[in-house]
Amino acid sequence: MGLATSVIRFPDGFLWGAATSAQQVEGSLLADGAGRSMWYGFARTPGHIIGGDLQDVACDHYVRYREDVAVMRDLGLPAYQFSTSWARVLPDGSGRLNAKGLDFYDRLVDELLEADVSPMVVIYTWELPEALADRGGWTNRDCASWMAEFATVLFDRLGDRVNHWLTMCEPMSVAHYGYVVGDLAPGIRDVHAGLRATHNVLLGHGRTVEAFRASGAKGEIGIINAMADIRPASDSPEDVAAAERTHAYYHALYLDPIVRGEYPRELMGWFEEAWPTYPDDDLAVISTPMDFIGIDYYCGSVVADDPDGAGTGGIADEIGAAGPIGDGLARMLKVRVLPPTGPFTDVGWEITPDGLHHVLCWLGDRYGGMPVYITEIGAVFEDTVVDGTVDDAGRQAYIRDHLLSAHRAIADGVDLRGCFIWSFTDTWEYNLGYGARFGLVHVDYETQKRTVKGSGEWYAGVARANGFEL
Amino acid sequence: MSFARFPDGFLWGAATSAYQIEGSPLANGASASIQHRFAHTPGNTIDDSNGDIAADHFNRFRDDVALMAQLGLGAYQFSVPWSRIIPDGHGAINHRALDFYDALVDELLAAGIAPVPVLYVWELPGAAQDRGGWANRDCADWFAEFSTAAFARLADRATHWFTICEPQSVAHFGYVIGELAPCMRDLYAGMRAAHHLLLGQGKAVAAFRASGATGEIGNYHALTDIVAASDSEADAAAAERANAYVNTLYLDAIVTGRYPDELAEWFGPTWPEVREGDLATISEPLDFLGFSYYSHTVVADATLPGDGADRRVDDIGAAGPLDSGVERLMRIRALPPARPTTGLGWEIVPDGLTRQLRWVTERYGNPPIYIGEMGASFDDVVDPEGRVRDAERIAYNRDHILAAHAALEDGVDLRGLFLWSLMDTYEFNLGYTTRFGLIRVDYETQERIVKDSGYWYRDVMAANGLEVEQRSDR
Repeated sequence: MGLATSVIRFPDGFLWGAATSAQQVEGSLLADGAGRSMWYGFARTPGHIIGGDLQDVACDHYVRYREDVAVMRDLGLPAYQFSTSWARVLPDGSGRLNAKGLDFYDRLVDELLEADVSPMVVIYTWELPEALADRGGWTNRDCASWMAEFATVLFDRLGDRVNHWLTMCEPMSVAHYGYVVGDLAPGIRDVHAGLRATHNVLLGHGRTVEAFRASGAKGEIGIINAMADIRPASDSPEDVAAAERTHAYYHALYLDPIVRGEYPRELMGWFEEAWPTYPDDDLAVISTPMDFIGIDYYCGSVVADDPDGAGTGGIADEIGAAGPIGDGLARMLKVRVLPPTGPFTDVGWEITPDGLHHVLCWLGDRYGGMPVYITEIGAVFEDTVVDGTVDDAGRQAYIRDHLLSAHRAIADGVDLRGCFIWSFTDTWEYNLGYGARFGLVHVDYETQKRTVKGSGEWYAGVARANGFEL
Repeated sequence: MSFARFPDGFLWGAATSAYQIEGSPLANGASASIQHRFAHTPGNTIDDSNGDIAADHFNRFRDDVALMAQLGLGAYQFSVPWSRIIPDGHGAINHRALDFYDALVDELLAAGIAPVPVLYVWELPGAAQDRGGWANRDCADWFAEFSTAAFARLADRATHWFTICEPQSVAHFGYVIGELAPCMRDLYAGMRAAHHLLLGQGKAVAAFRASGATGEIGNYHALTDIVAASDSEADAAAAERANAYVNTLYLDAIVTGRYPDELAEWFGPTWPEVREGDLATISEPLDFLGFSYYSHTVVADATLPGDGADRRVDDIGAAGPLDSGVERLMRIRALPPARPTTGLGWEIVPDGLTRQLRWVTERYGNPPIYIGEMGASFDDVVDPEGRVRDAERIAYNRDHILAAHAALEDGVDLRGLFLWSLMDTYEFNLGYTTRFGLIRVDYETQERIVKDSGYWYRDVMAANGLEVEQRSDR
């Protein structure tokens, strides 16, 4: 790259935003008649969350949402992605409505619109009501209908004002981390259960899109898929096949049925008897046309074939989401993840901005120009508040480099419509507790004071200018 | 020399369970149980093994019964796997699968061996797990439905039935800390599972009475001997807490129809919803209490901040020493082993068995008792003559049988005991890396070799007792 200053400009109407999810920021888990989600018990089971950090208070956003929206307004943040807690709205998962829980999201949407912040709603970010988890959760086919019921309540109440909907966050994380390797709630380690969950979350997605169309809601709907840049360690046919397998499991397993109405055949063969059975017309439901694809991207992994290996992942202590390929996946697909060489974020994830360009181009190629939003990119760095400011140059550079990579993808023809940074404020990061800070806005968990970090100010400038100077 | 003679009619047996020895888990219309799914999920078993073949007992059961007959076994405990009998968890009965157990029972009776089925050694149909398994209250009804099918076919001939093997292992290791299938890790789900397991047992017992069965039925509790590390109040309270979580939670409910008050208090909102009539169902009268016994744990208080246990859970996830999950939950610290241990690192504590049998007798009004399991894992070696000289296992079994005899002399109404295990088995997350059997299984050739401990046990059974002087100097 040359030294001359150049301006990176994004397409007109490009949507700039930042993201959180319900239990990661809200606190007040059981307030106003909310039911328990499966994360309530999972987090409370000693030994699961680093430091024993509970999500009980988090950023106290349930109480302080007006203050948080004011920060967005002051920054000029054009869009805010948040998720809805199913058990707040339907405490039993299905049936009885908790009006007060639904009111919260109604007030939040109004507050955002008032502040000129466009709401992007994720219907499901992993908070399955406990009552449904007890009935098998996503391994139970009925869960797809339960989700559509919940989504319908949201569409009826918020559908007149929300511009962008996402059915769910990272079905791969739900099925793989929740049911195959058990890093996330409900912690099940069962590949049969995991593949059933895969099918049922996709069916839940499809039924939710159907319900969206039927509701007459305005706006558009898509899904968030976790993406990783997976490359072979060599060009040997074995390593290439290993990378393809991993790629298929991570990406095509979810997006192929949604966009093309079919599962990747090589995976069905790979899993043999563990592959679930289902009615043929499920695929028609799953592939109910949606409006855009959302992607979460954090890093890449290089994989080699490992026919006899015990499975070696990229990192042992993982958040259980769209980070590096973990041991469980490596074992199951008989691959070995090469040790990353860095540089790294402070949770040890390799910084691989080029990978974002790769996955965006892959999406564009494979799914025929479907509009794409980056629903999450972001990085953990240890932040320190000094004199009321947080100098997080590392995060700013991380975001800048990824935006550059995204911009190249646009230049290459990818129909990228917007980008959301994970996360707006620091959040409770599941297994990692409060120690892993991704936010553009620092949260002091003792005082609940918000401090916009350097990266937050910079990003707001990018959003205002619809680009940045190099 | 004195002779420890057991009462006339004392039932001498050995035990196995279905998924652990049968192999052919999907044969004849069976569905994948959660054990099959667990084993086929890479990383769950330490040797990456599964029960697809195991000891191939499904195909070799007649030979195995012949071996039992040669040993003069009085009773054989085996499990009837739900996943074979009602593949969808509830609904249609797979009668073809019942044929196998029907034939096994007949074969045993023809050999003069009492057939002792266990209704649940963790073989939940995957389809039932997909509807929440034991976290779902309905699972108790599904279990009763399955039990009814088993009674209808086998209860005219089986002499003794055990309901659910170690409900504490199911709830704790399966739902709270996730060491065993289905590997959930949710304290709340775990406590509900415990309640539903007990409810399932009560409903199964009611179904047994209604079936016109001829035999007797009992529970199957993993009895861990818990000892306070000191006389301090804090350590004594820690021991009581641990004992409540692993023992009285189950036994009080079953025998007295009450949960220990202090536990409900300890768990607070985690405590499951107990509906009216549940405890009456759970305490449906049994004919005997059944126990497995392996070891003890010495516990100290760990309620102060920073006391948290960080020991890795690396045991079998069953009736062995307390694991780090119990330590964290109950805010206790388990002291490291101070006595000789078995091959799994479990302390050898025969006096704990006597102590526990006395405690049960005292607390629960002198019930008839069967020891459903006791035994030890040691690294066995086949010597050049093809013999397995497992002197350590003999010593372990001898000392524990003498400990049981000591309890008898104290007035404990012990009616019989089963050694775990008749033959080497697939041991869940430990795969084939550990051997408990009286009979060695060569998993390559499926050859059986009766170990020295098997012959020793043959002689004990034949004599209905053993010489006391044989007690080892431990």
